[in-house]
Amino acid sequence: MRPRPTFLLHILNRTAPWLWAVALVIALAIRIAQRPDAQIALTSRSALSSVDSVLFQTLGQPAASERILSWLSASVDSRPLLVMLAPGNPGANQTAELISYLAWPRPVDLMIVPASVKERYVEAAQGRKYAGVCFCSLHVAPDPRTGIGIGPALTCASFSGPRP
Amino acid sequence: MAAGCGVVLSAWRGRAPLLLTEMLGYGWMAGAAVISLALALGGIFLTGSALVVCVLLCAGILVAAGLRKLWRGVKVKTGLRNARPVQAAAACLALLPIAWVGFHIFRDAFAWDGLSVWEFKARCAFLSGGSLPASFFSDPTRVRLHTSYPLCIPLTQDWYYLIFGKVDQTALRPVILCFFAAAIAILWSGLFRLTRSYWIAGIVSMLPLLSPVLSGDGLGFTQGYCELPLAAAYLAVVAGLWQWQEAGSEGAWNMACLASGLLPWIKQDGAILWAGAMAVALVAHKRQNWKRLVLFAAPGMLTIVGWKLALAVLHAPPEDTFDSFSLNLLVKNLPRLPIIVSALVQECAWTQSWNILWMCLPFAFATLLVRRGRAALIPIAAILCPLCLDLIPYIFTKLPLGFHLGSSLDRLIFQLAPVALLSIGVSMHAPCAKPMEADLRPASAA
Repeated sequence: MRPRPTFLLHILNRTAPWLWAVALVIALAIRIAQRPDAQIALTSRSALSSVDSVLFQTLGQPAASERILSWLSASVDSRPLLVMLAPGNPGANQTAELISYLAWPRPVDLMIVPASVKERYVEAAQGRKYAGVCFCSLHVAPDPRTGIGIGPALTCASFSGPRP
Repeated sequence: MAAGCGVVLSAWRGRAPLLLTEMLGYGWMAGAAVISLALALGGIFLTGSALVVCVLLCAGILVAAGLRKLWRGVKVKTGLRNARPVQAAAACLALLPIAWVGFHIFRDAFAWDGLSVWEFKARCAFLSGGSLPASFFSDPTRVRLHTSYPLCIPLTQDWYYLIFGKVDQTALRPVILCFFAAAIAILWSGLFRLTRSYWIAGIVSMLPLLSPVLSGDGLGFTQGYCELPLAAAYLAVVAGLWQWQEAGSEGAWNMACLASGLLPWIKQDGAILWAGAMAVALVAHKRQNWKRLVLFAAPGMLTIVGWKLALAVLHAPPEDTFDSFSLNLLVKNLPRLPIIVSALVQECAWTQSWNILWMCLPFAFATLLVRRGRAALIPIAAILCPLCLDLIPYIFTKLPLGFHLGSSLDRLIFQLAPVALLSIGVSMHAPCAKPMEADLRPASAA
């Protein structure tokens, strides 16, 4: 049922269109003054175009997915992979997740390890339950525009160990 | 899309014609739901070509059912037949945000959760023959990638991979664009049915362009996040219930019912939106017929319980983000509430993301209350119920509160933004007295 016309409704019918018009103008002005957020642009046309584009932004290397996949497929060892990443770096975190993405169906353990003690962890991991290790550290000359370090900062190694 | 349109046509009831935009918008979402469900269930027994053939057969049956319904007299109209050229041009303004987002979608890469949570599942499913193997859900080393999240979007993407025969992330871009177009189509239809103004429908459908978050500049729906499909489905529920309450359209109730079932199948957050949808249904329904309300709840309830059971059978390790509910913990963590509410207010007032969308909403609600009386409770419940429910998990989060709020609060608000736009649009116009069918009748008969 429609509400009965009241004084309030009369005032509203008179003023609302103008108020909405003013709001629209303000919104338009705010939008024009805004700068768009930096997104990760597509830089590759490969099948894994998004993975390559993200890895290009974090590692600075084109077609990185292909190289990581070939490294992963070279190892016939089906034991899990250990990915260590430097603490407090979102770029390293995303790189580690993408290694986990590419490694599927092989299990991948993620471990946050400070760069200064990574050798100790690599030694501990070698010959145990892992088939290989990757260390993601992106503390290399952060780009002042994006805040993300650019550089060849992903190191991967396969362990030669007994086959499962 | 064809299978989804078949579902929509089959579920449409009543004498009112279906708008073409409604059929396409609801149809895309119903199609995603049907295909993903068929892949998930069919994948238990079949893989590879057999699975594809089985899903195609299901889709074919739904298309045939839709065609049969068309043959039996369900009318599909554009709604523009009686419009003057200027009005038709105004209605077509809704195409601008679709074109804009289309440009962004083909410019930006999938990233973060869009890649490692959602598209990851699609790739795994494709590499496993079309559906995810049981070992995927029980892998303890990938719990951080939210393996227990529902499968609507990943399996829809997987369907693309199965059709193309290879993993091609560029080929997935149109999926996101179709969800955005579906949301705009449902917004346009809802505004047109509730205001019957081509101008309001066109201009308000264009408003997402004024908010960076809604037009693909921020947040990340162009990066493959699932908030856009969730927001589109919730808009479909609210628009359907509102149309049913104001115009008495039986078909709209059925559409809302279907869309509410889809919410928890898109993402676990969908269960909160489903609870919001139930609150809206309760308001719209006015306790007329409890059986109808129970039937409305059934699809969503089935999805939630079914998915929980599936995870239990698959031995999926639980996610370790929230503490289990207890009164002691609630009392202990209650001092978090002012921080959470303050973060919510700050987020809503953040013009860099939302422009003045949320600041306009209280005025829209006030206008709706004055102009439409009790019907205004529908959008108010649709926004406030999920918003209040969304805040509760933060009280029990195990993550640092600031980090958790900063990484997810904007996405929860995003899910409600299309409903906010619908409310603002409808508040601009006085309620219509004549029935909808009068506008859609051929010009000669009018």
